[in-house]
Amino acid sequence: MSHSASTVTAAKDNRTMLLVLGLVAAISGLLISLAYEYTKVPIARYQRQEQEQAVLRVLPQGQTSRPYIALPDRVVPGEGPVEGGLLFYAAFDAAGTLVGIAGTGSGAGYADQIILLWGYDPRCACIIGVQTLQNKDTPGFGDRAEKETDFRANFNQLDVRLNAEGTAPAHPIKLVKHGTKTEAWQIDAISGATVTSRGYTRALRSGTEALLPRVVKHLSQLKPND
Amino acid sequence: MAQDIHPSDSLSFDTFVSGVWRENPVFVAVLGTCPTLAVTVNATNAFTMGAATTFVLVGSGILVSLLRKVVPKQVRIATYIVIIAAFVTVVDYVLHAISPPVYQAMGVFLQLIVVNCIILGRAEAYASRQPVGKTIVNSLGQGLGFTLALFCLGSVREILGSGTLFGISLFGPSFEPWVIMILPPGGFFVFGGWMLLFAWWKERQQRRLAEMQDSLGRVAHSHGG
Repeated sequence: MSHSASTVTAAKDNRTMLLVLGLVAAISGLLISLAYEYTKVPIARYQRQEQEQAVLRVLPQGQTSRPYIALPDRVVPGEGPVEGGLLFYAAFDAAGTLVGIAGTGSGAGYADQIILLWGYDPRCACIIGVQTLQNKDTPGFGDRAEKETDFRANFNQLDVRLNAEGTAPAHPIKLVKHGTKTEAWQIDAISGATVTSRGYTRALRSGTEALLPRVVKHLSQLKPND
Repeated sequence: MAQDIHPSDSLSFDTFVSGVWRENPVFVAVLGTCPTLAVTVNATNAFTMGAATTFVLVGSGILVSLLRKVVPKQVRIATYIVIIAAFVTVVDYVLHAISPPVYQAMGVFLQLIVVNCIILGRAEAYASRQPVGKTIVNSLGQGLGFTLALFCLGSVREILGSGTLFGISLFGPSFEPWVIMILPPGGFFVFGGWMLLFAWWKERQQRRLAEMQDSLGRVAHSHGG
């Protein structure tokens, strides 16, 4: 008798537990979905603005930008993730003429990955602007990469020309010791922040080597709108 | 934690002010030191973290207090964590929508409010045993105490480490910032400094109290004689 009574109590306990957990989950779910609904529009708007501003900062002659996906054999407009596709942005001036493309690249820094957005100008086949999207290196050392004018000058016209077949860079970007830069494809390191300089070099090298061979041959297909 | 539970006490000014001063979560209970050290590189971050934590404290406190009679003992911690996580997610969305630069500066520490022991501690030791009104007042006090503590650290670190307060330059361009103050060791230095100040203050109060009791005792003794 007492055995069955305790079974009944246990079953009741379990029921209460499930009910309460269900209730708490429902309330929490409701709170989260309400917050998501009310904030998704401003968050998406901000992300778009941020992206557009970053692209136009590395390609200052541009007025508008449009996302594209570079596949091994063609380029298609859009920004959704496509397997094997690389996202990049095409920037256009007021007349709708292509002024350049912007792509990302990442390389190991002193702390975490350094992620950069770089702007490529097809007229000089060079990088004309670099924007840091992530750099967690030591303040006072690593962040000099964003401030020092000597180092920033590397990205005024960094040669990333492709070889005759258009399959790889003619001269891979190379990091050289501070004050020893002689060629347009070399990056003059920041003295005292070598690891950060190396991170920047790797980020630009991996980014351009992956994207440019796919995109440069299709530049004429990039349009501000359909 | 247990010493602050007085279920029979009615709502009073002390319900609020104890969290700000006598039971300050950072300087007295030494809870939540992870976000305290990590985000206090400037006053704005410190203030935002404090406000976000206060919102989660109050929101989760209300729900925990409302459900205190129906939540079975065995699943209470799991329930509290779900409630806290929901409020943290809400804060995460809202801050991302209203101030993206501050949201970026907070980084992962905003989501990590979920595991901030001040909040779970309040839910377990206070909200689950007290009515809603008292819980709201107490949570506000604790939140304000946490915010003030973060602000104490953040303002000192920003002034010394960047020469600014809330981003406004204080000493002009000739100031050479103490970069170490915005690095992790600087967090420990400033935290240690404030703890020292609090300990000194507390000791002084106790000494004064003892002296006062002593002299009162002498007076009573001489009158008795």
